[in-house]
Amino acid sequence: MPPSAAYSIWETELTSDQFGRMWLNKFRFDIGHGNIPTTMTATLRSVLEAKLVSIGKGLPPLVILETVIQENPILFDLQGLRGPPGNEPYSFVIRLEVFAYFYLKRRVLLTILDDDDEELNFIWRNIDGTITSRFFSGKVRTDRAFFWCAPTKELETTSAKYTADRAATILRDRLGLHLLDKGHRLIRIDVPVAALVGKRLRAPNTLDSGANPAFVPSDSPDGYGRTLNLATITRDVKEIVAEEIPFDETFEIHRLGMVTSKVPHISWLGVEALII
Amino acid sequence: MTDYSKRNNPKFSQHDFDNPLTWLESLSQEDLRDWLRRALWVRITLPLIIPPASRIAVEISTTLKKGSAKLKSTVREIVPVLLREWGRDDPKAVLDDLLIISGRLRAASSEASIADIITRRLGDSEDAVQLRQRGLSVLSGFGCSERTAPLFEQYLKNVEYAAISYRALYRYDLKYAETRLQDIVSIFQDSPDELDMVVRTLFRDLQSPSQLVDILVEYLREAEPRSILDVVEALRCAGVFNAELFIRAKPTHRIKVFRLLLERCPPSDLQQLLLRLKPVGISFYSLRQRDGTELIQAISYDSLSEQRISDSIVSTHELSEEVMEAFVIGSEPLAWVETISGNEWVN
Repeated sequence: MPPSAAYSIWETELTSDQFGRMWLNKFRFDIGHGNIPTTMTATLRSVLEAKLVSIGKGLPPLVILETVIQENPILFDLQGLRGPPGNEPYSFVIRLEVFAYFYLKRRVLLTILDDDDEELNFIWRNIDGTITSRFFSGKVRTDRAFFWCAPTKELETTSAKYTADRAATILRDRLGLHLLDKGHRLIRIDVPVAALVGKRLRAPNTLDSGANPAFVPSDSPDGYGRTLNLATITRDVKEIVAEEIPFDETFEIHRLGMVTSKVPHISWLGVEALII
Repeated sequence: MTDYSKRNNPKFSQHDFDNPLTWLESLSQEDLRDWLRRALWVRITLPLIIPPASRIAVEISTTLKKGSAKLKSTVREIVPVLLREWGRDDPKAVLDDLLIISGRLRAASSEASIADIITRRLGDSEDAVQLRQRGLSVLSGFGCSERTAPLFEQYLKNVEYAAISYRALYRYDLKYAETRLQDIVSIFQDSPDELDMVVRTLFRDLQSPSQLVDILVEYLREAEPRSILDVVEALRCAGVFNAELFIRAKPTHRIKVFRLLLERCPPSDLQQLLLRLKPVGISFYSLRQRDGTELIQAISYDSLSEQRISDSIVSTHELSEEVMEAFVIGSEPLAWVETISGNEWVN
């Protein structure tokens, strides 16, 4: 069936700016390289067409796209066809604030939020010390019901080579953590292998990335995705997305360090070139 | 549940992805409110991008905190409106994020809405407990007031909220630190890690060592004797109950602490307590009396800076007539004494 007029207009508007065009090209890359089922094109279109009928006029095309992805997790989350082999240990990196607000027992490690610098400093200083695993509580996820992680050994290698702050800065760039600017403190959390048994692990695809421009799909035969290295604009560290899991005392946390430089200037044309 | 996805969203350009704050500054109050609604209810934050290492509430609040006074003031007006709009059928994550933004932006005008949500609009599910904890900690951050003190008092006896409420109350009036410490110790008696954290937090919040000493005096007066060892141990492990603390306190105050400790700590715990204090520079000197009983007579405080002072805590007329020997508890005798001269300890 030909696309509806509303869909055609939406697509034209989407591709009229660079980020919209990049998104569509990345999605087509995923389809073309077997990262997601070919039927996903029709699925996305039909959901978008339904939304375009009900939604108000004037919404930016990327907002409409993100809306349908957010509203339909069963259709669009973790739909990648490729996955990593074996049971490798994984880790993920988060901001100190995220750890403080979402990964600690709230009843004692309360954070007085209006003057939270002092509270956050306390938590930062006491990671690996007073803040033992007994205080771990929460769910490992992003604002969607899955999280992004990388093989622990790849992150450890970088940490071992550099001083803490330098390692945090390099990992920010290597993991494509766009917008984590100078001054952010980063924590690495190691996921116990047992926590991921029976969970869906996938190479990430464009639907998982939402509108994040600092994501590039990969067709690597090893079953992993690759991060976008912000400094070199190349595919870099192996990565996967994994289904949400509980966070408890079986995890290990490590204070990585503070990012000490601004996010490098990113050539989006260079990013686009990776997917053509 | 309202479908906020259909609301208007102001236009943005690719440039705004690199600098979303400038874009946010340009919005009218109504547009900013619509954007926040969409961000929280529909989870669409564009042109603000949420990196996988972060979360919506953290990125939004961090970005807004860097904004102009006008932007922050506008957000402080919007947040209570959104809190009132949140309904029981809305996702819990929306409320959690709103509370974080409210706290980090110091939207104190949300106080009444948050209090209402905590007391009337949440149930008792695990999620509700966590949201109530978040709400109470945000109210605590605004500063406990005459209006909210009864709320914190109400939750002080519930283990899920006791630590948050205790902190809110003593930051409001330090008397609470003294009068309610025993309640806290009882509530967390089966959870020494958590008690340790509460005590550490208390010490961090105090302005001076003498405040802690004063709190200890009041606590020891009312303490359940069996809990004294746990509390002192928590303070010791937290690095706050040590010689340094007492050297900096008023002599009369520190003597009160140790007199009360010796009077109120059960004999079965006392020896263990004294042994644990020796590594932190607090040594007790006993006198063995002719009848064989020991009487703790003096305390010395040895700080890391090699400052050393001693207190005699028993006046000579309290001693039996014939004093035989003195020694440091748990160690070899340091010195023999023959006489006690006034209240001065002779070493």
